[in-house]
Amino acid sequence: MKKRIALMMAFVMVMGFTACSGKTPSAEQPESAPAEAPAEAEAPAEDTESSGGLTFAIVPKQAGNEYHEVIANGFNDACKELGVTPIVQYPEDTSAEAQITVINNLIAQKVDAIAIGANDAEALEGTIKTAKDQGIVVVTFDSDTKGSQVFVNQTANDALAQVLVDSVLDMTDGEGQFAVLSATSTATNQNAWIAAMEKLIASDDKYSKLEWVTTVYGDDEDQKSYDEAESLMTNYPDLKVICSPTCVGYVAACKAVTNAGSDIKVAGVGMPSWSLGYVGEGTCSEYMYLWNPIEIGNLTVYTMQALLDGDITGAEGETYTAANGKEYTIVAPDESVGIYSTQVIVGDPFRFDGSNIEEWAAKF
Amino acid sequence: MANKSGRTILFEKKVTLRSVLATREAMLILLFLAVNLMNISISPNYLNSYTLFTNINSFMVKGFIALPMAYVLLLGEIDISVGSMVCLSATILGLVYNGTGSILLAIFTALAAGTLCGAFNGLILTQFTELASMIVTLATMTLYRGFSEMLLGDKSTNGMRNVEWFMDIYDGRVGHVPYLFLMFCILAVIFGVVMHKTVFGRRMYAIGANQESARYSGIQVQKIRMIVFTLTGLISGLAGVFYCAWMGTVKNNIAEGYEMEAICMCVLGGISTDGGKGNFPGVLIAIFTMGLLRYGLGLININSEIINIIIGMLLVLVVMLPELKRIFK
Amino acid sequence: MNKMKKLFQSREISLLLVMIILCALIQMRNSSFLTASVMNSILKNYSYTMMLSVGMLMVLLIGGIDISVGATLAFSGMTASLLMRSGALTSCFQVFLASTLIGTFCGFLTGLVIAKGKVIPIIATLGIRYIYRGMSYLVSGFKSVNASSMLQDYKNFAQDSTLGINNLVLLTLGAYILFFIVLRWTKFGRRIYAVGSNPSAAVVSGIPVDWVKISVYTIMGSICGVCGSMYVSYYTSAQNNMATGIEMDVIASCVVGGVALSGGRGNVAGVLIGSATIAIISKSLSLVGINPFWQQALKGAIILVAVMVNVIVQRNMDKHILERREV
Repeated sequence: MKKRIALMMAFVMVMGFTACSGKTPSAEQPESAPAEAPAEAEAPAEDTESSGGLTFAIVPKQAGNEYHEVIANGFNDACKELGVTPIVQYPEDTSAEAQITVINNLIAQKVDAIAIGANDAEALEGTIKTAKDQGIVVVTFDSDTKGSQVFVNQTANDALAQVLVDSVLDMTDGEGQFAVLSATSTATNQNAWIAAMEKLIASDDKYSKLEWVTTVYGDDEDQKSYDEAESLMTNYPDLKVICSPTCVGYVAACKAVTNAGSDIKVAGVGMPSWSLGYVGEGTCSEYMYLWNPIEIGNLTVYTMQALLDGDITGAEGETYTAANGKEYTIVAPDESVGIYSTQVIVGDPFRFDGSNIEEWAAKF
Repeated sequence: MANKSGRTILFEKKVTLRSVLATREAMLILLFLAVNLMNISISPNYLNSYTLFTNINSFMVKGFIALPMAYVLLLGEIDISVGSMVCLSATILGLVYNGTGSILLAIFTALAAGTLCGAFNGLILTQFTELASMIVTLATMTLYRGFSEMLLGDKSTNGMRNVEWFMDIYDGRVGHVPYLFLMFCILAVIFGVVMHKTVFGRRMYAIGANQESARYSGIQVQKIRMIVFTLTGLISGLAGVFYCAWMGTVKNNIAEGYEMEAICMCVLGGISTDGGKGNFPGVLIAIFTMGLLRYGLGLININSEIINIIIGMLLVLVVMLPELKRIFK
Repeated sequence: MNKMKKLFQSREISLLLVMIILCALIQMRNSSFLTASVMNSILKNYSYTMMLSVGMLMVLLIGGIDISVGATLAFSGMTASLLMRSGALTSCFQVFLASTLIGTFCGFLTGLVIAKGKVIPIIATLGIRYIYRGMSYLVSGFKSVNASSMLQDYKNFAQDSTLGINNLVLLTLGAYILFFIVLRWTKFGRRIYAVGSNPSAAVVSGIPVDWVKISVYTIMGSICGVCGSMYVSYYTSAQNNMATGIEMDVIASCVVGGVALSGGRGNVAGVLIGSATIAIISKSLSLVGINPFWQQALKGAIILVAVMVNVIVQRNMDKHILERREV
């Protein structure tokens, strides 16, 4: 009898779980998904214009990445503004494979445009080609991949490398050791920025006294980044600055340095809301940089719309006026840093310090 | 009646509709049908054979690994290094191709690398019989992934996309049916026949049911273990080749978590990790049930983490069902 | 019986030897290794892995395995953090308590599925791993909890020390002592060994095997809960993907420490040495300047060698015993 009760309980629990997963706050479900008859497959012609308005989809890098969530929020807002149905679909992990699965699902749903924060510079090419063959507009944001029509770039690589190297120079007082704490060893944009930083340091004499001791990878995970920052402090007792060109790494380095009571400084790009308390006078980092992730989401939508409307084709030199009134110009790709598509640049890196961080932390 | 040899001796018991419906396979088929019905009803886009096959292709690479994994589990062993073996052989394929420019040579080396990795697992397990396969493959999982990191560093390989026939291994189709799917079917039939119709297969069942008594009855237990682990390496190498044909590029973090997916597919298909139980058709149905469930729920934009909850619950419930039935009877 | 005791002692000594050689090698390459601050940082960083290992010891002793520890840790840590953010928990102790209770409940369910549902542990925990991890995403709405919404004394907990020892290390030490006592001197401990060495004999001798199993998994769950709080306090942020794959490190710690996966063999001292070895391997390879891309392979190789050495030592010891018997 006892057994029966125990099992009954287990069963109820499991059922309870099922019920929970029933009312998931999952991605917006397009109830009115393009409702044409399941058309013949081999004729994926330009019949994508469904009767129920347009559907734009965004595929960020992974679930639980809040930086990408802010971008997705910007994406949603801009879609609503234009009267477009947004779909936000997170891949399971940071692999290209998970993204391909998601993109295939979106193609099967016959969305009108897909924006991808690519997890790999090459692997998505085949899938993107399939999408484009079916008349779907494909753009990339955050990190580019081969095959995309336009890459919505947060900021010019050289501009970011410049401010990062300059902050290192400033925080080391002109000379000394610094280390870089990056995301994954295979992350395209971080690798591009690091390459640009290397080029910059080699190009100017005023950086000659900086010693770049090592580059370590925190895989954009809190735990690993924190651990890597800690071992940097133990391994290099003379270290003056940790420079982290990734939001997760930046705040992890700040935490590690602050907890250890070390006087190492942290430079890099960070999310204001995460970094609150670590940025400003008398902390481990006087200032940091970022761009506006909401704007990336917005501009992604405007660019997709412009491509769909035929205002632009994605060729270099074209200009268009986005729905926010700003004018953007499409510039050339830069294959040496992993940008294979023509790009639109959202803006210059923005400086956050003690004076403005609280104001921005409320936004993202 | 759980028949340890896996060959259900039908004349021993009365065949009633009820008993047929109560078998694991019948339940799986029902589940499979239910998933398909659900998919058809929730999305008008499901029954589009072209996109359907596109999506089947995307879980096919994992499906290949589930085939030898069924053998491994049947022996009462486990191999959690498969994901790392896929990664290492794909890495070697990419590097050899970038180094020599010959894709054929690269494929051959990748398969050899996979086989070697598998053989190394087998060697340790047969030389140190005290060690559980879980432990050894846990260590080699780290080791093989580490080799891949050593070889690739922060780079990725490239250029494979230019070799059209190689990319066609994954992309190519006969009508709507991809080559990869056809290859899977052929391999699955071979694996199924070997498991159920050959002496080798019967011996695997015998070892899984009771290794000691299998040894006493003259079965070369260690030899068979060695063969199965080497075979797992070979198929992982093959999956690595397919992965390259799919992505056209390799990084050191690919194929993470394949081991758990493959084990899930086998277990859902009725292969017990205790060994000696289960049959092959079950595994095949499970591969497609899991894959299509993910696809269908993905079509209505349910998040993959939530799909995981559902799959986890299916797994536990299906395995628990006989016990639940017994208690609630 | 005396001989048995000796055998176990020498086994741990061989493990200890491996660790000492490892430490000596590292110390030769980097003299800052054996300093208080580095040791403290390694132990602090690995405290939760070490604590999970001692719970895993118990699970492995009854012949089970739990690969859902990472997911249970994440779910309990995340839920407690959410409660803290909402203001329902107002002190560090309450956060720990909440997280432990949630973990305990999760562990109880796992135990129920395994013991009463007669599901093989690895399959059950494989499924449950997906469920709890997904639940963590669900309850948090796919978001993380940031440092700014956490209690100050909770954030300080992981950094502060009591009696000169870091709190996290102290908690772990406490867990080891507790488990040492339970496994060696209590009826429950003896039952665990009995169930693991011979389940059918345990049934015959009147041990409620199912309830021993359920209790063991429940205790494992509560350890996961405590570790969930420790983890969040240490990293001062609760992420949904935290501690992914930690089960592999935990199992490796136990195995290197001489615990048999077949059940019934292993003890707390071995696990302590095993998990310390894994901690040292994982944390100090970068101290001696080994290329980050080589560390993973080295770690795998060291684990492999360690378990093989274990077997060889065991074989020699068995041979000695046989020889002695023949004399």
